[in-house]
Amino acid sequence: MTTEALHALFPDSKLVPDGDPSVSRSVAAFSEVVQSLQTEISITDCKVYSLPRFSGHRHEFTMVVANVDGRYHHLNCLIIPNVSHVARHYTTGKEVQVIFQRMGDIKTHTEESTVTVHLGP
Amino acid sequence: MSANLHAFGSTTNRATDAGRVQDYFAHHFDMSPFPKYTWHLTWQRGDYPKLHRLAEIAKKISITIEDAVSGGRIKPHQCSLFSRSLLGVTAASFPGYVTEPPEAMSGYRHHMYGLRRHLYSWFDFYNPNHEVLEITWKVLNGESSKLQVSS
Repeated sequence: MTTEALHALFPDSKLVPDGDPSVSRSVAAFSEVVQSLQTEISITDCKVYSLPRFSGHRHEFTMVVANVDGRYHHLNCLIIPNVSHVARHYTTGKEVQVIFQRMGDIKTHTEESTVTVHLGP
Repeated sequence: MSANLHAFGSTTNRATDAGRVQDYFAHHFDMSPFPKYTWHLTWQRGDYPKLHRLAEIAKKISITIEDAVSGGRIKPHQCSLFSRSLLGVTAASFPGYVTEPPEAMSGYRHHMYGLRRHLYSWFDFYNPNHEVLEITWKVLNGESSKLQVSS
């Protein structure tokens, strides 16, 4: 089911066996894909996380959307920084997390709004 | 309180800042391996936010931020503004939300901060910026028609 959800949200995604089960797109590209979905996905709750990040030149705040019923019709919504490791903590069996984030690189002074869909283990 | 973090990041003494930030989080947040949420909204009456609207809102917020950045009206690093605006506009667009107690910031501290305060504190009080404040107040006052999309 989770694989189906990933392919529904990112039709051109290709999962690598034993690889990181996530795919990222720009917010604009993600929006375009979601508008075309036949299934309307609802969000049941939204959480904000505050996490420290002491090292590195990247910083990010993230919104995570995760389904709770295995059919990705009803989703939890989390907002957290540093989601890459947090997502793994919160992802369980059937969940698909849709992560909104704006990631900045202080070195290059570039920043982009992206969406990552992350599958549960 | 969150504004202090921006102030830390904007200074040049990063080693000292890192220590101060670490102290800040150690004091105000649970430092266990599993992160705790500081804000939690639920929609229980069936008027749930829809992902396609959330995606469209996110896209519009992103465009608004990038326009402001390219015009030199705000600093380039707005990851916090993006997520908080997304939360705020989502709340403004789907007002049937119920606030649940947070896991973090136990005790009286989190009760001091309603959603309005929570969102407002996101921004840099030490470097006030009209563009950022305009986005904020549109969100807080429910006048976010520019950012909202029709269902």
